[in-house]
Amino acid sequence: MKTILTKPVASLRSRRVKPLVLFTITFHGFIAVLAPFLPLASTDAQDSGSLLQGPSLEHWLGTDSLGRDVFSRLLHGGRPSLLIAVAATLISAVAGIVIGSLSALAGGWLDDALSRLLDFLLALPTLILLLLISSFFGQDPFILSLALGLMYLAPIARVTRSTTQTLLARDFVRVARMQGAGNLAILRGEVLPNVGWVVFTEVTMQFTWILLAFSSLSFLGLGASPPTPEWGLMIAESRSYMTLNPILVISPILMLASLVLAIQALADHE
Amino acid sequence: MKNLARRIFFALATFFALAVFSFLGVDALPGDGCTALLGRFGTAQKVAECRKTNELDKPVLVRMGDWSLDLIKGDLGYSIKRDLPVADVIIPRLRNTAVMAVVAALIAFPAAVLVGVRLGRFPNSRLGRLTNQFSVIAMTLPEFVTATVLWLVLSIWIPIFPGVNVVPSNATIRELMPNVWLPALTLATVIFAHTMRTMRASVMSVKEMPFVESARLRGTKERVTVRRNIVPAAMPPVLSVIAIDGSWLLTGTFVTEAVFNYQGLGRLAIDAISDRDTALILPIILFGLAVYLVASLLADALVKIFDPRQVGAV
Amino acid sequence: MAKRRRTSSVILAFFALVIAVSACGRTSAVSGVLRVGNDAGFGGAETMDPYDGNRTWPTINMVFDRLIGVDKDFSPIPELALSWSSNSDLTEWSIILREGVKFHDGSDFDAEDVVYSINRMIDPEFDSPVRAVLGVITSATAIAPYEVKLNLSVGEADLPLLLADYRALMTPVGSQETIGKNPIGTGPFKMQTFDPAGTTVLLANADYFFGQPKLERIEIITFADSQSAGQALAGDQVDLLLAIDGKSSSMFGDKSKFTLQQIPTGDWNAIDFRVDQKPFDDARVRKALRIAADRQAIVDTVLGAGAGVVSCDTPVWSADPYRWEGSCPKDTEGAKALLAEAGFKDGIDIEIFTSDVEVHMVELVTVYKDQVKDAGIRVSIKIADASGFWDDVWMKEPAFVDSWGQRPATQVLNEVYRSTATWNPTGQVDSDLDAMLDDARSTLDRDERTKKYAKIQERLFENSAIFLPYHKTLTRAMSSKVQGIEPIVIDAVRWEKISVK
Repeated sequence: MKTILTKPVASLRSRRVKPLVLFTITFHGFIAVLAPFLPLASTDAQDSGSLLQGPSLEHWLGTDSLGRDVFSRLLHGGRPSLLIAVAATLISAVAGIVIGSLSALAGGWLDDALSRLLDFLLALPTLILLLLISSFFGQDPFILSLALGLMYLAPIARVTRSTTQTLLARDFVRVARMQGAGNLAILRGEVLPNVGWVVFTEVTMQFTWILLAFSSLSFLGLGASPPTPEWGLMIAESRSYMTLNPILVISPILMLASLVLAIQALADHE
Repeated sequence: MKNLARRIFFALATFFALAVFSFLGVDALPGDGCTALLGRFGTAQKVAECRKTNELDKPVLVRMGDWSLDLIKGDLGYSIKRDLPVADVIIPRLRNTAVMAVVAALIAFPAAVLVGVRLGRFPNSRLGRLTNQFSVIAMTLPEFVTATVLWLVLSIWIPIFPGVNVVPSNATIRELMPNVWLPALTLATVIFAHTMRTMRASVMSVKEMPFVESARLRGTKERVTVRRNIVPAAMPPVLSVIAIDGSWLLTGTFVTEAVFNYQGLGRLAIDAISDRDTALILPIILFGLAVYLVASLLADALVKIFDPRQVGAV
Repeated sequence: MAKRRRTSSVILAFFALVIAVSACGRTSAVSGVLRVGNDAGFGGAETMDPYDGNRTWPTINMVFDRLIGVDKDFSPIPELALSWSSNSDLTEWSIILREGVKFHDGSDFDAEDVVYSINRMIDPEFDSPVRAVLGVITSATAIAPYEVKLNLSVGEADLPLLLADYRALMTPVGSQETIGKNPIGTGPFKMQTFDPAGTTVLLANADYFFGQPKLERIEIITFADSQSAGQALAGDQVDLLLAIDGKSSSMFGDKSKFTLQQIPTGDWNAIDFRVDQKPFDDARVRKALRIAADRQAIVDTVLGAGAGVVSCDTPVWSADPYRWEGSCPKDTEGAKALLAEAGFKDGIDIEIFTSDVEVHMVELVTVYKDQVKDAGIRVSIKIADASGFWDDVWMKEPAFVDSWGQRPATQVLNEVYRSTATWNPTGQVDSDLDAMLDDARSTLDRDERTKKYAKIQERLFENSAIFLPYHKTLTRAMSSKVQGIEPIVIDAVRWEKISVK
């Protein structure tokens, strides 16, 4: 069956994706899904006798300022941002692809209106609006996903629009049209299975931007709320203790950086 | 010309829509300037009095109307919490952010263009690959990570720069300067990577073009070819990246300023949101939008001016 | 190759320039100047009017004086007043003033200024926060140029301590309009530039009645957060931080560079339960919630080891002469039994609201949650937005985290626990307690009064709706160049005696 993912999957197979990249992504996916089931210390359990300790057998990466196990918090720390990033990316991908292809297929005034809408979304000062939304809705994950999804859909819609326009000019689409296929049929049968790699790349890029935006929000205290383990929040909470126990800050930085870099490497054309 | 008029019209429409949207949005936030000012021990009566003196008890649409009229007259309003005209609060911070932006731009853009040309010509050299990979990392990492790393290395381990800003928002530029470097370097890292990669890609595609080839065949020296043919032809996309990144330097500095306690517009925006200082938040949002709109118009214009093939295209 | 070398040398030269410029721009300490790091506090809304809710502290205490100060042992000592006495039922007080004191503008300080200042503090229209302290004063009268009479609504044995409140400062007649930005006081330092969001500069008052200050100048530098303030001290950008995070004090462990002082204070955090909301209307539930946690573990985890003193739900702090030392160990079984008795055999689910509006408020509930889980108390933490917290959450939600500054026993009990108090956060009405409070404060004999206050605190541990696990011990950090700051509460610090080597 031909689906929208056929092309991307095929080209993922044919491209030589570096093993390191694949390994990193698998590793992150694995711990994000399995962290609650692994035999880890509780993320909330506090050891009042050992705050800000260095690595030990009991606490592999030491403890934070409330005596919590850093290793366990680190493995759980990607889940909130990944969850929100996945939800938001799904929203932006679906909405972006629909708007983009609709825009290209319909043309005329609708195309014009949708393009202006995309211009508007692109022009929004994202972070300050997110800060406003987050302080208004009390850091609600659902609202944040929706807001992030809307703010990051414009590039996906634009890429879909231009790819679709190119496709529409191609012969096989013309043939289908001559055979009497309607807009919807063309969209489903010819366009969506073929927008493929380019759009997939754009979606992946937006995924990393969304992930980073949410982490930045957490860092500023308006993303994940304590005591949730989340990398951005962990960095913010631990900055005062940087000189006492650098692992507290360095370890979430490494986790966040490796995840984002691996996903970008996956999407990167070169 | 018609195209330009159209774009300006849409820019103004966007500006207007966002202004209305932000005003209503900020107004809907829990708490207002008076509860923020009076804080914990503000009795209902005191809050009501404060709302009356500051005209916060009027309907939201009336206040929005008053505010827009004042804005058109050039009056940005009054910050209740800070007990100062908004312009007096914003202008010094805007200057600080601008100083930081200029320093970051001066560090990043020339270096990015030089390195980009070099790497575009020799993309497969080992140093080239390394630099390229470094740029991908620098571009991808969130600013709070870059900032934290720079702070750790250049202020704690090797104490070259002051780690946090201690001078007030209205300090002289001389007093401000030592505090500018770390935040500016943070921003510069991001835009350097971005610009450098665009320059590199652009040079790589231009150097294969026939006119470059023919210059070479004419026996022009390589250095001259680079300066006369390759760089000018490769510049347009880079210029538009510079315009957009330049606008980001003025409007995307929230996190960086927060990390370094730098008294700029981004820090002020975060404070203003938590203070419910509507009068202060709105001009900052609109400023951000205006800078972006101008930069994107400028970016398109630059592409058209420098690239004859683009004339007539949207 | 030539090209590459040129590129890299341009970059190198640039960085060399950067370093050179930044190095010469770094400020160094000037002798005779004390640079104090201060929290942003009210985000630019600060005023020098000591009676205003947004008064900027500790600057007001450098510019103005009180009638009565406090000594190291928290007993009242003369400041602008030389002596004081009362009638037998403690409702009428006479205060003799120091003569020859001048305000910074050269005018004389006398009884009229005292009457003016006290009238502003107790003015119901202006409704100063100081009114919560000195509201018992019904009138102030000048009976001689240097003698003032105060009439009280009830007998108050500890009026001198209440007058030692850090905000009960003396301001000149008619200063209401100008005092906020152009303060004229009698204090050791005069205002030079007032910039609460930036750097405030004070100059020594050579004519100060306690003697000329040793410092030439004090600069008060505002930081947005305590972390940047800590970095500034580490980098010799400030000399003194009045309070640092107890857990990061080892950053300043180098004794040749820094002096650390640990000072027990009366500042406390609490979790308040509204008695008019289920399930907190049940005294058994409230008691269970209060005995289920290990208070020492809370101190160690929230504040850091040694950075707090355990309190058994009494708001009276460790150095206060009326302090009651109870015993309140963690009692999981007792808590379970109480909950079962109240109908919660399978434990209880509660929501507690908090916010990062002040330090330790989020940490307290995070640690509490972990502490009480084995008693079957399941806490879910709600983080409210900082700017809406005092307005929308505090005193309104069923359970919330609270934070109070140091107050003498009589003040804190009457301000927070009395049934009719404006800021009684739990809504608890206990007329017996109110009667006990009236009785205690108007008891002339000191020992008897102390016993009565102890009884009151015991009663609070039995049925109060406020879980009050600790009073904070603050860590003051300063450069070792700073001399003359004794390890005592800030209210007792004499700013004129401080010097910088």
